[in-house]
Amino acid sequence: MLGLAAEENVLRIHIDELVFGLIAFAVIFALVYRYAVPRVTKMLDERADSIEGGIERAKKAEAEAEELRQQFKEKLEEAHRSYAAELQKASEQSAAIIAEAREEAQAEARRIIEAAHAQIEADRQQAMEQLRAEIGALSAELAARIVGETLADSAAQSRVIDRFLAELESGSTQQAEVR
Amino acid sequence: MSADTLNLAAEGGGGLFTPGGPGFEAPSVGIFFPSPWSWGDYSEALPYTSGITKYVILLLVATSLVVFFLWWTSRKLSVVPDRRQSILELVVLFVRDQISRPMIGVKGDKYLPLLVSLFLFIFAMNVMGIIPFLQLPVTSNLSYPAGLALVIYITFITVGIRSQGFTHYFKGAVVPSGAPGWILPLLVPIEILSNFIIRPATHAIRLFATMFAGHLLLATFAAGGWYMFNPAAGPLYGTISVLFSGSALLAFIIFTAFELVIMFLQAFVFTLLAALYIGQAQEAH
Amino acid sequence: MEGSLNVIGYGISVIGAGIGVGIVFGLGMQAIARQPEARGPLQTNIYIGFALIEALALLGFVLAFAI
Repeated sequence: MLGLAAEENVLRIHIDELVFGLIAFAVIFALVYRYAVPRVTKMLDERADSIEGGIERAKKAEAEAEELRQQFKEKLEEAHRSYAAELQKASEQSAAIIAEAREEAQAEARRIIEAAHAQIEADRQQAMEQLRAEIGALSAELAARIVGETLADSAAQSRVIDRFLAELESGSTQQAEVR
Repeated sequence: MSADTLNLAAEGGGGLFTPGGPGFEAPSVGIFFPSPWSWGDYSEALPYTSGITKYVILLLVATSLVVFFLWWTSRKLSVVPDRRQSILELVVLFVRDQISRPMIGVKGDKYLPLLVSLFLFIFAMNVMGIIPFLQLPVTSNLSYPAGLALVIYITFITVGIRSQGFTHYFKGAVVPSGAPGWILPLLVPIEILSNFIIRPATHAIRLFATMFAGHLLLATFAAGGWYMFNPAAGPLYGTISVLFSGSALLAFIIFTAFELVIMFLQAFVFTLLAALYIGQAQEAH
Repeated sequence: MEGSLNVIGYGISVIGAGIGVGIVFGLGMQAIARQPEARGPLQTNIYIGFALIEALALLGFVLAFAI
């Protein structure tokens, strides 16, 4: 057979190969012992720590967020409340303003009407006074005329009355104009 | 296959259906005895040596593979692992949670470096068996498993003496508790034999024999497939021979994948038994 | 017909180991099926038992070549 040594027992242990194997294993063991496993273990511990810390941090942040949320909620509610109060106040105010304005307007209107009434009343009074005075004078004049002129006939009588009435009329117009 | 196996297989290549051709010669155990390179051949001068053979070169390859793996995966360790680091963590945690903790307990974490390096080293040496052009598991040479078993042997005896004291440890290991006095002359030699001689021997031979058998199986498939590959034998016989050798190739591929599983399992079992022995030595019986 | 009687001896030696490995894995599966929560330790013990039994078969195999 090519490239093959003489056959030995397969259960052979060659000293040189055994030593080479031990050296190779020693190299790998040294590397693992000094370098790989301690670092990996340390790193795993660190990771466990950081995960635990992370969980704690997350819990803290959650609590903080909850608190903040509560605060915001309170603030919001307060804002809602104050808004509603403002709104009510404003509507009350506006109602009051409207009522006041209405009252004022009514009062004014009443005042104007009253003034007008008073004026009218005064005018009427005045007119009545004047009329009374004039009617008295007129009645006295008429009576004097009726009594002064002998009433011969009915024609003359009616003439007198007509004249009087005409005078009266013109007089009243004159009087009205004077007024 | 390795060059040696190819040479071996080539001797019978194309032999099927060739009248008067060479008969099929199955690969012999000779494939496990590569001759030393001429520049490193001191095997004649020293007894019980082999010289610088393919095994030594493959040992070097496997070792540098493991060293490179360790360097590459633990170059920059961070709390948030990247892909490289995850591989190393996977290996370390696998050894810790599947081997060290169940066998020795939490206090066995100090043996974790030993077990991790054992596992990585054996697996790398085994895997040499299915890497193209190398294709010779280093552990199919008994010298290497024997060295590792020796390390574990010394380790567990040391651990036993240090944790239990010399007399207590050997008494616990050799004298079974609860056995009647008259049977002890029979039991003690058996216990000595099983605990201190057969145990390291089987520890080494188990790994060696599995790799040996697996490699021989793959070599047989390759050699047989090559022997049967003879398309020049005429249309009918040629087709048959190609079909035969195709199925041998398929089986070769399947068994290569199977071998990978076995290689992993044997590295696991070797490490597991090492942890078991250490754990037994540490605890009082 | 030529060959080695050792290989026949190996074949015989494998019978026992085969039965043993079958029992180990069969009972192991049964145990895991009964108590799935004990899977970890059971699996470890299965592999230890498997390895110990397999060693016998492998010893036979190696001795077939060695002697």
